Amino acid sequence: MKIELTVNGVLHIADVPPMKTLLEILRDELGLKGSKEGCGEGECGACSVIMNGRLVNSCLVPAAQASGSEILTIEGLGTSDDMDMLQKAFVTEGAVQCGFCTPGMILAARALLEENPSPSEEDIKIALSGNICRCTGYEKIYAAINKAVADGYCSTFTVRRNLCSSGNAVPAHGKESICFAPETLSDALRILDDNRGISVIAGATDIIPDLRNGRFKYEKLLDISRVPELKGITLSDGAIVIGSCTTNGEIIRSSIVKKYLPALWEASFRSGAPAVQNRATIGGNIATASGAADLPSILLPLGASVAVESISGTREMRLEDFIRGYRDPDLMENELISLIIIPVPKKGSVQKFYKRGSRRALTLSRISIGFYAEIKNGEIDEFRAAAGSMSPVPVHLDKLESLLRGKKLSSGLIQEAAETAKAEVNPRRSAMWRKTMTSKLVTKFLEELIQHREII
Amino acid sequence: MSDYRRKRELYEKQQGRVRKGIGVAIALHGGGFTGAGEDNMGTTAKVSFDGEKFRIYTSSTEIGQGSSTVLPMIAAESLGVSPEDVIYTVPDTSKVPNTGPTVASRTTMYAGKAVRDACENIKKELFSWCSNMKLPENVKTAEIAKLYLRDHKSLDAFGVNNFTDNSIWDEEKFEGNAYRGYAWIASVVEAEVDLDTYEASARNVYAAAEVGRIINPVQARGQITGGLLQSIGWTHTEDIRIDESGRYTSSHMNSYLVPTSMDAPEWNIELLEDPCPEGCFGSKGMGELPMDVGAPAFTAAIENAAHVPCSSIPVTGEKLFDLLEKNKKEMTGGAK
Repeated sequence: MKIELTVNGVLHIADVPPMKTLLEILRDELGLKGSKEGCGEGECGACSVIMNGRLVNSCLVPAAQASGSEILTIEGLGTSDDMDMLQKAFVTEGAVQCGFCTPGMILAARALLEENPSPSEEDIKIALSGNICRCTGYEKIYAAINKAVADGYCSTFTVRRNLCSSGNAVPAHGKESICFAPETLSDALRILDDNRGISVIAGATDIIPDLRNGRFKYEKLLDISRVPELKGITLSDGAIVIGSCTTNGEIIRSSIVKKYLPALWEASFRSGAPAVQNRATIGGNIATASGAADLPSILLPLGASVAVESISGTREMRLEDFIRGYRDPDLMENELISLIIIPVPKKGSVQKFYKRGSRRALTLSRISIGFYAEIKNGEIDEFRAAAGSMSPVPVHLDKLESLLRGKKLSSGLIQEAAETAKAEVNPRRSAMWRKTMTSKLVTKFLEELIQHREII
Repeated sequence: MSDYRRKRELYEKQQGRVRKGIGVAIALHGGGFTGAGEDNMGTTAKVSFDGEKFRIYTSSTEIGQGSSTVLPMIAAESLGVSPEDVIYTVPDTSKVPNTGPTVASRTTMYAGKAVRDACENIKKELFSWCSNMKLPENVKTAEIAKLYLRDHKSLDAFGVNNFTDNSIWDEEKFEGNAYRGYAWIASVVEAEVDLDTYEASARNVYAAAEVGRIINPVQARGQITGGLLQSIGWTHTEDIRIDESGRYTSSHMNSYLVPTSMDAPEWNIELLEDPCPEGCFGSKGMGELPMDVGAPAFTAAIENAAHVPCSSIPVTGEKLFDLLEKNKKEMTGGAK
């Protein structure tokens, strides 16, 4: 199919298969070899570019979705003879050793500075957390970014224009389209209904690695990332409504989420690094119906429900009913997840999401657990907890919930709750470690709850 | 620098869930091949003048350690020209002599010496030609080289790594001088251990490294922090295992976890110089040096915090959990 791309201020037209990655297009079609392929699955950041103003891993963006976008790569900053301030700072501060991470690292820094022109050390660390450097120990990279900021780099930024005439790819001459990118929900639902078995792509962060290792095959594709009805976060009628194609990055940047759903904010923030967050969607995270997903562990306790839509109408169900089994969501062939609906937490309620991986960023959960509690007259009026990474699907801790509902918190009860949770979870691997950690996180939450009760 | 002794005692007495720990390790690392390895290597470099710039030809490959910066610096210093006048040629075995492999903390120390020797040979040729031609003295090397090329087809010279120290090594008995120069490092890791979640992380890392004469201080420091971070990753997150059929379980970057920016500690680095007479300009090899200390210092810090013996790495959450459980059993067993 033919796609348009604005790369570094120049309009390009490429004729490529729909799932060819943006990285391959940049390197092979456009000859821009600055962006590197490290892992090919969003784990290293060597391929980072800025797409429509946000950092992405170009190895995880299919052509169909890159189509029509405005892209900045390392070649758009400066040349070896005429480097921009940030590139120069990387050289003078010794932030480049083998150089493999450097183009992605510089783009990650640039994306940060475009959003936040005076970042703290912590902001820098977070922004670079998806860009692995094996040489420097990172210190000199921070120094380079700080130097560029001090040199006034951010005042050199100008608005980049998108020169593409349309986002929609045109099928190659004489061929029938196998890839659809509708721009309204009704179009999307009609295409879905007319083409049974079509593969739906949203953030593509799971699908591209699966495509590479042969676990995903497609005949036809439906890209729903351009459907406006599936995007955005709104507050209405006592509920927070999140479109299924809303990305983790958008959730993190949402003031509604920050105010009402801090635990969901935490779960989205701890899920991948910025470039992955900017692509991965909430709908995708629940559609896989897998215990490895982070968001259901907190969406379940928050009492979320899911709206699915087809041309014949909408069905709404609780998230626990939607997740029927491992990779078995309650979703018919002609249905799309349209919305995730979360009741506004009651005043005085407490919510928390804990995740433990093997490192601080960009890590798969070894354990993820979410809590929601309401307290009334010193008693636990409502208590919900769910755990991921320990069973094929994320599940409520039913026994723990019924033990705590209606009880007054005491140290005896906390101990009983910890034991109950320990017995209730049934992880397949590293069982004792995970069980013990679950009981400790339950204890931690309940102890915080006691303190909270004393405050209110 | 790290207040190690006071903190070690203080942390030993800690109670509670989140504890600090501090550990120290010292190491020495010989530069170059062992024993007579370097004497028999035939380390050779070539330097030539292309009419504008001097070009270095070596088999020392740039892999991020800085040879494409340091070798031109060495050549520039030897020739009396600026580093911009020297070009590092990307090694191509059809064009470069054998400088030996790019390993063993030997490039700056010994490949550098061969480059320096080649530069000296260039200068010798130029100066003898100069005096024959009765050219005035104190003309710049590059200017003389340009004049020389008017009369000659080319200007190039080989150089080797010669030793003058009569070092003796007995390969049969493994006795004698194993290395011409040892770099030294002492490192302190200050860690935080969460006994609730069994996570150990390095927060502050201190290192004092004596690396001979330092050719490029920025890169030397980068090598120390980068190498230390790698050895810190080995200690707690980088977990390679082999399954029943002999395949690595960590074949992807989502299962083999190297430290991210969020995992890196605060660095406190001090570099010391005790020049080595047999290294280029007094340098010592320091490529591998920082890798030696991260793990022992970090595990010592975990022991200090959690009071469990860590005799193998990586100390993952599961491993720390097992160690603590084992310790608990032994303690209760002892009480009976």
